[in-house]
Amino acid sequence: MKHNVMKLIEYTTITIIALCFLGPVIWMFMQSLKTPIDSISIPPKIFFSPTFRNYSSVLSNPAFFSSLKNSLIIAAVSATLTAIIGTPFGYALARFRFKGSKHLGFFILSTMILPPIVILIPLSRIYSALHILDTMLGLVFVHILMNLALVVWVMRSFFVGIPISIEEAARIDGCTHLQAFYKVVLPLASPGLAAVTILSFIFSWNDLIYALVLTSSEICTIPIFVSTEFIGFLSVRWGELSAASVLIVLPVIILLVLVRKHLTRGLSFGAVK
Amino acid sequence: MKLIKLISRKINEKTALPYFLTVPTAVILFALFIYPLVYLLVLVFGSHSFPYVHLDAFTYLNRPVFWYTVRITVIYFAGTLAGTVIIGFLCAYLLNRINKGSLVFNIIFILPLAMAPIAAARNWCMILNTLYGILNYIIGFLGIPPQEWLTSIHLAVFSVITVTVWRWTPLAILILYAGLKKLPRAPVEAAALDGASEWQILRYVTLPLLKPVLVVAMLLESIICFKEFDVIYGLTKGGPAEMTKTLVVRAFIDGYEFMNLENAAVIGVMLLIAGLVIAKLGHKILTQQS
Repeated sequence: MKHNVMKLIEYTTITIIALCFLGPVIWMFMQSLKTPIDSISIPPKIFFSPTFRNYSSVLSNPAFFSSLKNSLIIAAVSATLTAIIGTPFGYALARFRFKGSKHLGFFILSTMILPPIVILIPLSRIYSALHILDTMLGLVFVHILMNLALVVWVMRSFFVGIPISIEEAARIDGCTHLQAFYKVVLPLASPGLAAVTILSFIFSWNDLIYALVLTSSEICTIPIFVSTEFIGFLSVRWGELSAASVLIVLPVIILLVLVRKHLTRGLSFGAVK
Repeated sequence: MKLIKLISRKINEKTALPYFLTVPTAVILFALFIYPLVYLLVLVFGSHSFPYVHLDAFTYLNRPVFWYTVRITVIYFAGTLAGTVIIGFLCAYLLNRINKGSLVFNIIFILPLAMAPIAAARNWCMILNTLYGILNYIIGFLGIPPQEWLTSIHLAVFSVITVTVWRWTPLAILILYAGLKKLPRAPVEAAALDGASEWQILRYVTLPLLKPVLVVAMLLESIICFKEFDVIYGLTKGGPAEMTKTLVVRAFIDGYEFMNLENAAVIGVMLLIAGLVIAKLGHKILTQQS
């Protein structure tokens, strides 16, 4: 009897907390289906006749598509490049002790820990001297920096978990060390590589501050679009704002559920498996 | 492929390979991280590097506004860190105890992490609105009068902390839940056999065993609270009356909205020092973990 009461309390508590986390997401979805009048009615409308007008007006907005395209290109290119650049170093950190490896490991980690604004203050001046302010190239560079630590540390943890005897066997069979890395070890670590690339993609996709500082009129990314497009001088088009938010969040939810197995490891830099 | 074969034959030596693997990362690191940081220091300490220097940059540190910002940063940091870790542990502990439906809860807890922070913040603006926000409607049922969540100088910090906690607690849940699942069962069972109560088991068995994971969770949450910009920017932009302007937000607004890069750079140096301390600590913790 006492056991059952305990279970009931546990389920009730976690359900209430979960509703607090879920509530805002549901509310966003509901707002995206409301007419402009319904979305700011007092008291707020829980029951209303849904309309897809917000979605059709967002989807017929050319600015939405151009920023969608920009964000897709920047996120895909930077995530791929980050994986290509960071993975070998993760392997080097996992397998070798060489001069400067510890310092580099530390510097890589601090790129993730320093607030972006610290690096942006000097970088915006460097970028303007190089004439790559407000270009996709500039954002791709800085997103590589943003995600490099993630790739390096998580891949390091995956490589540490692969027994060294496997690559020794490959080398006895005639592979060079580098061949053993990309022919034997890398395929074994590929689930991790996929997960960490997807995470990099998501961080780049969601990034606001780098885009806010380094772009202005030429390149608009999705977070900038969401933050500026629907906010007028006197009113906010909440319905369309919510619809655009739902559209950009949906693919991320799907991606995160796909990498759910490696999510904890990825977000904790490989410290918790 | 041929190129890779050629290169791999050339650098078969054990001494050269690690450096070959390091080069791409090192190039990015020097070009985009170390060089800009040195440049930042030159900007601040080198004389007349700013064309519009009117006063010695570091007199900024003597102004009350700087220390006021530091105070808000500390309040925000402590509030979000405590909130995320405590609620995160509570959820992880409960998730670990229930056996049905934990997958559903898991997916629910991923949702705030998936939201683009700016979309989440704008959505919360709508929820917290004084006139037509749903939150004031809900607390109306409990007999509480409508509150100015984002525009009152007393409540704004609290609201901003709450939204940050909402966004980042799932991270703590994921990590602590993974840690709890991995704990050995034997000590808990032994304690239960010896007649320990649930609370005693939690306090004297589970928590000490979980300590390493708890440390990682606290480290990650403090990194995130220290850096957080998007949520505050999206909710209040530092207002009302600068009540929610943390150092990060002030550096951005001073530098890129008031175009006072000099002040922003001084704050940047302060953040750099604080960040390096956290990084040193984090490096130690993370290398011990794996």
